[in-house]
Amino acid sequence: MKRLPYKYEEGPASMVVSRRGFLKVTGILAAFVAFGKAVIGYFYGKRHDYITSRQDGLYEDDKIHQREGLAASQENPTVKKYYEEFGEYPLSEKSHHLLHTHHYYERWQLAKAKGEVYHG
Amino acid sequence: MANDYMNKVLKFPLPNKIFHNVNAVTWYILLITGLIAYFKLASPQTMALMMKIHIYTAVIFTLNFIAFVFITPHRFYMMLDRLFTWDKDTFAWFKNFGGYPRMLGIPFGPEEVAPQGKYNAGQKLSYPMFVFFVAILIVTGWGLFLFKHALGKGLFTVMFYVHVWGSILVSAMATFGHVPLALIHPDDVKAMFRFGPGTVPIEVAAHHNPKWVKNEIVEIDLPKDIPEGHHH
Repeated sequence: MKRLPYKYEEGPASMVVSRRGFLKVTGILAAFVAFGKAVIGYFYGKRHDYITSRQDGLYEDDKIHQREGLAASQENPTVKKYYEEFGEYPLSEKSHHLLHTHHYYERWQLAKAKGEVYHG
Repeated sequence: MANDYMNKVLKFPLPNKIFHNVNAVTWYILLITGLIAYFKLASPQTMALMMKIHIYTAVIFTLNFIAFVFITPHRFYMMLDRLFTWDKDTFAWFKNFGGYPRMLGIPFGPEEVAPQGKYNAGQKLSYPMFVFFVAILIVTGWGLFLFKHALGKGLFTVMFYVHVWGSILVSAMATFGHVPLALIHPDDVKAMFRFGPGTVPIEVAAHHNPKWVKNEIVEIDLPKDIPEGHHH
């Protein structure tokens, strides 16, 4: 004869969770998700505002430079003077050695330089 | 011939057991690897390895939670519905904290414990925090790992501190509250961790969770005689 491992079990979910209970749990879960979205959205929005206002500032600077005829570096009197008196011409041997660098920083390598470990 | 039942009740169905146990094991792996990486308790190479283990374990931890919620939503809802249902007896539990201080020799409050459902008031306070923190740790963890540069400093900082200190707080609650209190109920521990159905003797359930047994338990409805298997 078979010996069954248990005689009682929980009733079905429909017996345990009433309609009101279902709505309550759904409401709490919705509130939890909405709150999380609001927190993340707040910080994300703040950052977005910062980036866009910075962008506006850069465009504004660009316009000023264009008005002054300084929008391109070769039009900049200081740069012109450098080439006339010292650097010969753009991409000359001398300018290449003076102005060209081989440094390219990644942010995590900067952290490594401070003795921290990069996890990734 | 009448069926021969064992006089037990299925307290932890299989989906709950799988979720709980995978969650418990991965939680402590994540805790230990996370602590070593955060508090710099090892050499840089070991910390990097810990972080690798942390990420791979997090995949299992995440899928386990998603599976529980989306494959057996009715179980998830039953649990939350019980946790968020507070009645007079739930509040009365605080008169003597379920008689647990008395076990430690502190005669606090009346001797009689107010009858509780599947969860007592203490569990109704702490378990929602565990459940929601699992979700919060999943979101902040993957946010920090995958979207580090997209988050911006403000959100990164908030997520980082919630992830680190939130998990430490909840781990302390689990380690010094949940685990010791579970260990003094060996029937529950056996039901949760044994290979087989998560059953407890009906008398034990009736003593600890009288309202659960009274209101939410059904007797298994089978034909009175199960014929023996035919052998061909």
